[in-house]
Amino acid sequence: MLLVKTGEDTALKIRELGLKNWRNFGNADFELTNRTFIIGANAAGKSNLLDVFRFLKDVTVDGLQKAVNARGGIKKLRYLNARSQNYIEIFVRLTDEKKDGAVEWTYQLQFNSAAGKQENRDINIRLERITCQDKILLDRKYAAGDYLSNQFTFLEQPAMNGEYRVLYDCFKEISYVNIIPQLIRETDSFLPSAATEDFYGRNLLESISATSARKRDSRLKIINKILKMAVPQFSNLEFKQDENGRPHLQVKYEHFRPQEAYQREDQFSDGTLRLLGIIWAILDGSGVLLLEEPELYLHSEIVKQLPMFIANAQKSNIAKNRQVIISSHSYDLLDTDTIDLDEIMILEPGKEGTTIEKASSSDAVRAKIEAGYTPADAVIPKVTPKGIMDGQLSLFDFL
Amino acid sequence: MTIYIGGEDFVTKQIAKRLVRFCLPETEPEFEDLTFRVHGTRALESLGTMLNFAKKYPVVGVFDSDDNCIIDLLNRYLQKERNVDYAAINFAVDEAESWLLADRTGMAEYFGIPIDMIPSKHRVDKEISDHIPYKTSLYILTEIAPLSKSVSIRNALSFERPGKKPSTYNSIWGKYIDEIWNIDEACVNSDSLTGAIKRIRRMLLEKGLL
Repeated sequence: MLLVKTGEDTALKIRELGLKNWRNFGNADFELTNRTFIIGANAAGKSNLLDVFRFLKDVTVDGLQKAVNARGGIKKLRYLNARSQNYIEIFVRLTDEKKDGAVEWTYQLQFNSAAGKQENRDINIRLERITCQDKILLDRKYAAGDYLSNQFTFLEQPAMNGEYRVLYDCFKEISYVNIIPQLIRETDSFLPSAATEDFYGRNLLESISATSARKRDSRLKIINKILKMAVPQFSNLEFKQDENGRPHLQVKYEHFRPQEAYQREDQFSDGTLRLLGIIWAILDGSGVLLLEEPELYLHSEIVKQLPMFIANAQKSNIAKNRQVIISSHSYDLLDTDTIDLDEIMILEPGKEGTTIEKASSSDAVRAKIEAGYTPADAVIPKVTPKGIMDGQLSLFDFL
Repeated sequence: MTIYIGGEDFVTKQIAKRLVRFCLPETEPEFEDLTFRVHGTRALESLGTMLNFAKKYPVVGVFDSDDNCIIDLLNRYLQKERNVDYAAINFAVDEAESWLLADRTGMAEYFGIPIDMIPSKHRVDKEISDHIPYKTSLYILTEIAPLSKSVSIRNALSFERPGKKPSTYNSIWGKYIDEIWNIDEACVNSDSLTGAIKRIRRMLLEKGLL
């Protein structure tokens, strides 16, 4: 029996992530909110943490084997200090909050490499478990003697996952955005990537082009409003197609001459393109959106307003089902009193791997907020590299 | 154990950390900077928030008095709070550099100059800086650094523009503060430094860390 019919409107949000032996994380478990800020120093594991969500997407889209191989095999994935329990485990708890009362789902996947000496060994599933409201929908363990079936998750197989298709759909919808303006600007760059996922914004123009005119215009209207504030000379952001049918964005650029000039995306600044791409991603679709260091290329005052924009978008009809997970070490991003400490996860690297702590569970962080500091003041020093903070020498001192 | 520090620039913060290590020789404290986004007098403007936090957590601040009366400074930057004993907020007279200069032997060795070139404190004086005609940091830049035997120190402390602190100014102080600066000897030449040590020890004692 299908608990949620295929095609029924669902709004699953990831509420908890548990990890064992995943890259930097020996053992980690944390809760997620609609807007979650993952804060950590360089090399603390922010990207590796976001990669868990991308991995879940890859498992549903390409299958487990390919998802692991795309990351260089299990040796590259497994936590270096993994001891006797050397399998990788991902646990996700999700809730569907659009219904009367939340429906809770969990997905648990344990996998390891198959025995043998070959370099690129297949991946074996050790455990795959799915529950919905305490009802166990799937509970499979490693099946001795059935070499082939141990290699495929049930989740990745549409013929098997009917009962929990919503999970499949939710993971498949996860999107990762780390806009690289130069790739948007290069008009030809979208061609080779057309069939693959668009992490870096290569196909932003294509994506805008593929959106229905009504939706596109409504989103561009919002972006236009924001761009007008960020770049006062800009107005009338429009979607255009050139004589070859290639999609473009065009703005009026006001200058000293009485007649404005028009600019296309290849003339936009890096910051303008990145801002445009990030806003489009937030407004485009539902599901989990992973934003990697959105502050790059952007003016600090714009970065400061980004969290509020995300919150506003989530309150609106346009992006009400968007869950946004942001990795950053930007002071500006957290320099507002409108971010709750429950929304901030602090990554702290240590000898036993990186730990994840909710900012609100730190007494010192809470005391700083009570004393009058902003979340940025309270949290960012905690992720300052210890060597720099304690260092006898300044970072670039080579005397 | 984390000790929270505040200061107005690299030198004051580095001194704050060294003073804590001096007062806690048996432990290896970790540090967090409460003033990492503000510099100069803006750091002093955040003194009230720092003191609010200091009611629960150990805070050590080091600031320059810049020839101001310390009571006046506290009055200026703290609206209500006058009793700041629960925090160790310290003002170097006249600048943190005068505390560094107060270890005359260490300074002379580090700069590679005769000790006679370093000003000395007269018996009745409170601070080594009492006889320095202008700001100690400027005195170091104009009167001491050019005589240094160390090329790298001379380079780091040479003016790029008249009256503007060299952009490489901070780069020489980290090593000196952490490895060479003798606080006991410096205390002999600076009452404000002696007072700072007492204040930090008292605060650590009150917070149960000493």
